[in-house]
Amino acid sequence: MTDEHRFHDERDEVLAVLSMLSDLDQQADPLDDRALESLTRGAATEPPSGLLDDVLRAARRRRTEGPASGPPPESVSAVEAFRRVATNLHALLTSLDADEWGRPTETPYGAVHDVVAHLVGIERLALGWFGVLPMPPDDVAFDHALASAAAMEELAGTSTDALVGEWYKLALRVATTARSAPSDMFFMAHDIPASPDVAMQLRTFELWAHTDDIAVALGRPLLMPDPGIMLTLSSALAQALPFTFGLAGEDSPNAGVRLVLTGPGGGTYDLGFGDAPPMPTASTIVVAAYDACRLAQRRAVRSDVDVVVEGDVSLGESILAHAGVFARD
Amino acid sequence: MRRTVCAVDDASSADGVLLARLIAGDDSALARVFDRHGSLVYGLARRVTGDEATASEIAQDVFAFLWEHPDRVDLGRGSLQAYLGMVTHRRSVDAVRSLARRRAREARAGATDSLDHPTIEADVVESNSATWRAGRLRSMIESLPAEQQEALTLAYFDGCTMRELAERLGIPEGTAKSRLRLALSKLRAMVDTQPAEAWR
Repeated sequence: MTDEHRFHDERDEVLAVLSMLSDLDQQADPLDDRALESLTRGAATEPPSGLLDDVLRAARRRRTEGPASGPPPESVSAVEAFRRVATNLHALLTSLDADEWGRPTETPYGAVHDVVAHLVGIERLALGWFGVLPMPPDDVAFDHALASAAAMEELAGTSTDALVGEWYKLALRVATTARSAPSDMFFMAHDIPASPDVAMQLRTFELWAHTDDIAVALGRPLLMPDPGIMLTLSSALAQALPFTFGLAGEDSPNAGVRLVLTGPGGGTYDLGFGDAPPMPTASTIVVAAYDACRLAQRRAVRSDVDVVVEGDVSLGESILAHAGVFARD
Repeated sequence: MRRTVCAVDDASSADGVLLARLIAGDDSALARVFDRHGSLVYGLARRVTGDEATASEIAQDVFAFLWEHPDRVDLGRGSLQAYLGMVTHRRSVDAVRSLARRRAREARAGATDSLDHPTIEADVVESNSATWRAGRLRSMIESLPAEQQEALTLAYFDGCTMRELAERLGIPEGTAKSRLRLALSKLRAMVDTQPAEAWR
């Protein structure tokens, strides 16, 4: 050993001791890496075989399921999620000045005013799903943009106050209707087979997406749904992912996949694709719950999102690529 | 389908991703953490306790604690490895103390001849004392006022917590903390100002 090495070794040893002494304070900082290195130099030892299994068993005894700390967010009903997002959008719309209503959006509909008119058309369609209003012909009802075309034309010259009032009144009516609808009711929401719950999940995703479309047009912050809404939507997305390939008219892979949604409203989901059971897991996908929802809305693209895929990477990426098949605009 | 739920923010680093996965209830992430840090945790516990079985128990406890409370790791204050090292060291010292207390009780009951069978704690203290004697730390500590020397010795070699330190010295906990911090501050200043030659 050179003198220089000896100097560093002994000096680091002393620093490590000092760090350990500092740890006596219960709020002390963790050992810094240099002190830790000195403390543990030569200590690293191959653990005995079986220790990992023992560790996992011990861990599961401590926390089998549920939040890591504190109460988990309360999952809200799809209707309640829709109502809250609608309220949020209403607040945004009532804050706009005259110029802002004419700002172009990155949607196929045009300016902010046009997006809200589009939403009026979709709320009317949704009331048709529940049998409250007459349904348009299938070729119109199945096409998301076409389904709102008549409303957009009708409302093109309407004042903004009247437009917002009309949309919000319809949105609340949709929520009230969905809340009282029988849970075993079944209809086609565009081309997607849906129960009232599924329909309201789809509508909530859409309202959130258009809220962000308007926010982007205005240069305002994007919506960050509360953890309860996020949990409702991310959970719905996780449950829907195995059906995305079929909806896209493709053969589903046959594999178990673990989806780890991190951050507020996240969770861990073991999913069976095709005929495969959820376990064993061929691929693990790790992505923030918020980002996963934005992918599902097609308001984010894969390259913008931090994702970790372990195991079968092409399978994981393929699943992510299908996350947006429910989005209609 | 199994579901667990979480409520805590994500982070961008590799450690941050692993922690976010733990918070989200992904136990496969715990296996990843074990793969990365298991040898350090086990090895450090074995070094401090001198006992393989105890080290295995401590490793289980450390990783189970991480699984139970991943939100307690603050990556702004240090790496995950540093956090695990700190927790392992504390648990190991606790284990040694616990064993020493038990053996002391047994010795008092006449069950053990401590002179013929040195305790693990004695081994650890001897091991650390060797470092002490070989290095500069002892001489530096000896240059401190007697009350600060005593506080440092109790803290490190006896492994006292702050509360125990205060009780042993018969002073309030706040005073013990101040005394120890002052001593540490002086020691750090000495380490920083000593020329490299002093360590050769």
